[in-house]
Amino acid sequence: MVMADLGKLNVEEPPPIWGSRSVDCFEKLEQIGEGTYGQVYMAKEIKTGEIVALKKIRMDNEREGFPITAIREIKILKKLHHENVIQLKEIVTSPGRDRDDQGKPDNNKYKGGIYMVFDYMDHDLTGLADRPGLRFTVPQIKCYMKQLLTGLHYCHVNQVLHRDIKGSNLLIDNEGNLKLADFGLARSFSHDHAGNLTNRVITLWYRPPELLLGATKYGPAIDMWSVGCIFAELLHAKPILPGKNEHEQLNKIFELCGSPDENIWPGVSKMPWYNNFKPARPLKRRVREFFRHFDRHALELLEKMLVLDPSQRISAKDALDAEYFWTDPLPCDPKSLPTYESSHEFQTKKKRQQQRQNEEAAKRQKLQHPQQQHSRLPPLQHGGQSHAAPHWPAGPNHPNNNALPQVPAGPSHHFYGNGKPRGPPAPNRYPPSGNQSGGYNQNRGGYSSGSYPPQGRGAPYVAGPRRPSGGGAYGVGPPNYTQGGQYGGSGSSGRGQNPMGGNRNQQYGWQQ
Amino acid sequence: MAEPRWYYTREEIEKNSPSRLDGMNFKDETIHRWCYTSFLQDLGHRLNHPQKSIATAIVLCQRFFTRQSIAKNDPRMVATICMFLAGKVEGSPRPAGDVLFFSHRLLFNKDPLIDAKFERLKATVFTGEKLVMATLGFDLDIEHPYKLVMDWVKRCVKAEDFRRVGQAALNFVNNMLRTSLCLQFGPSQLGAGAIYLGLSLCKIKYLPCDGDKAWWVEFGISKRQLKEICDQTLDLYVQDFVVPAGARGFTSRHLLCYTAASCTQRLYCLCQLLDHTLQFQLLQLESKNQ
Repeated sequence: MVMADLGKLNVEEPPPIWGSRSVDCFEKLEQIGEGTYGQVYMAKEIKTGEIVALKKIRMDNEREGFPITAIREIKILKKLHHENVIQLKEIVTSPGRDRDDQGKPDNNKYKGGIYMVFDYMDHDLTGLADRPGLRFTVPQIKCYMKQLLTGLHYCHVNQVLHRDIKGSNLLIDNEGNLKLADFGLARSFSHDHAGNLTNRVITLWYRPPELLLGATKYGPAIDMWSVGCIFAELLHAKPILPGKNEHEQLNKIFELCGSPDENIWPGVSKMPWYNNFKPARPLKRRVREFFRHFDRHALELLEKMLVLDPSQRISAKDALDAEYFWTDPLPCDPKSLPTYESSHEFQTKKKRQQQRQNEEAAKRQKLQHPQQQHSRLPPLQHGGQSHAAPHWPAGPNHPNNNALPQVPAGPSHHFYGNGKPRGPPAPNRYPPSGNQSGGYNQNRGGYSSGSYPPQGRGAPYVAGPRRPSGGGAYGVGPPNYTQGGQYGGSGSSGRGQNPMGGNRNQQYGWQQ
Repeated sequence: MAEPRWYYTREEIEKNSPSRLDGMNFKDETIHRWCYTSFLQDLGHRLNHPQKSIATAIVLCQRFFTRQSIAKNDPRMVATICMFLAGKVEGSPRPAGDVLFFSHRLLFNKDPLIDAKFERLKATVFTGEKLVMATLGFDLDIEHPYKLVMDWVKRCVKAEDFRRVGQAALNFVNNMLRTSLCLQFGPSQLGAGAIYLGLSLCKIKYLPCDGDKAWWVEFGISKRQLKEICDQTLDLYVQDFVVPAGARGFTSRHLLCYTAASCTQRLYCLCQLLDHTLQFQLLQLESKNQ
């Protein structure tokens, strides 16, 4: 009987017909992102000329082969087909080297990398929101929110939890379409038997109270909390709950939404970490007070999203029926939105160089005056890099973060961002806000009331701090030597650490 | 991306597989199929994998050999890789070293030395994993009939029969994995076949609840397909290489009985040969009838 020898595999031929194509079908144009997850390139399909994004699946740190997170992501993306969810077009493999380390011919076609091919998207929501001089209009915010909810509703109907909803994972193309991306933490769930799931998901600032209290059985409501945070952030012009660590995050939530008790959240006192975290004295819900400058319908919807008890939190479907989306001004047609200069293409090397010089200069300056770290920093920075995210110590204080490799210049997200730092946005890039210095966010007073003029209602766009000249739109703040997150440099630092970011490589340690 | 095609006709599987092109005849490939599927079932058990992961490993492995030849790929290695990969796919990952260790133990009846050779094998698993995924076009989401079958049985079978029908049907789902049926039919069609066999084995005549529409219509299957699935499943039990060594003694007697066309008789014979659970249930059934 003919049979291959023990352990022999057919690795000298490329995948058979119907198998994966080779990455050589694409021409790499430019690297547009780099994160803990891997590199992202803009590329052109040679045959069709179509522009795509190639996301390389990082394998070099893997001790157990192809990362389980990537497998999960591929499985999920292959099932999802929706205009508001990023489309995984195909997966291609690179044949790898022709010669091995000793220079001997190596015909193994499977030693190279693996790339996921996605639609090319020009921006992400955070990057767009952070553009100096850019202010979203109300119809535009409604349009993005509606698309976000539509995409998320689709995921939830298909029993997928995204588990990392945040601005930098919401990609936007130049036709105004918003798509959910980065399903690296996503998971299928089933209604009937919810298994034990890890609560170490969702970037801290967008993480719902039930996860912070240790819930291991949860559902779509966790994503809706994140949506609420993004919604408020779009209207409020800055992240609303920028906690430094889990404890502080919960405190911020309680200060805003009140402290939970058995009346408003039946079962809360039995949550695993409730006793560690319950506030010393009861706090009143103050959402209406904090966001009193929002319009009535927006506030009404936000109130339903930022509900502590997940079982009472509004679903994506119901949120789409909210008055907010059906009253004037109506959400605009995505096609009618202005197009913005792409975040990737027009950045010259010179700009990057300049920016590096600025960083160096800033670093030197900071080393001389370390105590100024707080008072000098710009008020609001999103995504970008470590050195661009100085003012609140980056990332939750999560043990997993210790495993995070120090990546000096990551994009703001794991999918593909421009991979370059963004300048400090103006405090008032969004529709008017009159509550910048109020209440719960006073811990940031050092930034918001120090260097910047207070923002009045309807105040015109006011430039932020002087950016280093020459850096243009991409100037950076001082480097980040903040306390609290020694690995602030990685991918999503500016926005709080992705809790599993550093742990993606370690597949066998956590609950699924 | 071109739509992958994962289902073949029986003729395609018998005549045109890559192994056939490399000169392996159908019978040999069938023996291989039986070997690697049984091996995966055992390996999965040793690794404490849930049945779903084992089933995924088996389907991945079977699909792999519709695109690659056994003459060029050692099925033992491919199966080991598929088990490793299926664990990750189904969220019950086991380290490659463990999978290899148990694989070695099962294949060679002794524990491997953890030496440089073992490390090389591990490296082969990691490269091979990419080979398997690329060959399969990264189609890793495999559906199985288990849930479908249980839901239907729960819904449609009387409470007193529920357990044994359910168990019998699930056993048939497991045994179907050893045939090439998962390359010919989708999970819901296989589910219908397993239910049909389960019901017949338990001697339950299922009456359609929905007017005069047959119950299997909701599984998207025709009567002809249903018969085809049942026949191929039952064929599994008469192929002589399938018969476990201990059962060989009474093979011929039962094979004689098997040639009789009656489905119940064939089922009876296969129970004797293979499945203790089913056997037990059948005996119970008979004692009730007497």
